[in-house]
Amino acid sequence: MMQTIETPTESSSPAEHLSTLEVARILGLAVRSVQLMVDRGELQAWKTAGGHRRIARASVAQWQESNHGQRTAPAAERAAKTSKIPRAVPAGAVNVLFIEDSVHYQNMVGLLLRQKFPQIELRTAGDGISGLIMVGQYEPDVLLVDLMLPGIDGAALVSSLRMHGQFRRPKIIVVTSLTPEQRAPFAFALQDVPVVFKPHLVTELPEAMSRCLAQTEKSV
Amino acid sequence: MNNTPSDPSPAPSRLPVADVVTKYFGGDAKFFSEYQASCAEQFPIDLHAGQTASAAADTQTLMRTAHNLKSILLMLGFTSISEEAAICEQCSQGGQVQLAQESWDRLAPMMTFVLTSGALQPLA
Repeated sequence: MMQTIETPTESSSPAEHLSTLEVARILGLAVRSVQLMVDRGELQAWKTAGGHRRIARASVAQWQESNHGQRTAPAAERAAKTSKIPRAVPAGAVNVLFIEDSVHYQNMVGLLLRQKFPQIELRTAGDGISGLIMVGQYEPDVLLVDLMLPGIDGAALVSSLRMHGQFRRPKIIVVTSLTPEQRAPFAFALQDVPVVFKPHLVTELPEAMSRCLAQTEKSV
Repeated sequence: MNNTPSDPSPAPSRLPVADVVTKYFGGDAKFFSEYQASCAEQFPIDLHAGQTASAAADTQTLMRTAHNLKSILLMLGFTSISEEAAICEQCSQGGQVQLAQESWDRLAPMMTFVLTSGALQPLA
């Protein structure tokens, strides 16, 4: 049953309450899982007039502390706390980092990879700078990168990684909604890198990912 | 800037869902339905972000919001709204503040219609 807390007033800070989707992203869970957690009273929430759940940020933090700790802490907090985090992924898991500012595509890739590649441990970064930090922290096996990113764009990010030997290990897949013509300014970074056109992501990403996994030691 | 145009836009058209599932989701109706549900949660946040950016003449945020909406709406079959999002993105990218705001003022009610019309309900 949903725990009842005082419904915030118009003047309440929106940052104090999160949507189900935002909490799903923070915790790395499916939206439905978060909805069930609310219904079970594991997270404090209220409902808008339209029936949408709004979840108290404090209860999310409390749940993280008591359940998952480090793994589910927000990216910015993780980056601030430590420069490098041991790769605490289950044996046989493949570590994938998705650098993408669109929640829609974060969600789509999360759903897709959970369905097609259950062995993948997926983390996301919402901008290029956070993404670069997380590459250093988590040493992903596969890096999925959007081209149009705030902070530092995907092409510059890929080029930067290639210039530093220690970051050459991850296989890279670029995802973009830019047409081939629109990608021309980024061509310098796209040589020998598979590019998935976002409108075809559901059908093309699994194949590109399978090829990357086949090239990683972990897929053996 | 006028956020509530006096002349209501016509209801945006949508491709048949079965075609959308085939074309963009590999025929996986369950995946489509699950993904569409997540969009129904995110669109109000996008709408608020676009509205705030438009009011503040923040073309960078407006461009990113429109850019993301453009391809998602296309994949969900809302072709005409996707095209309007592309216009908003282009105007924002070109620094044409007034045109970008006018485009957003056309886009926002179409998004609201999508959210309130039941178009994003799970497939039967």
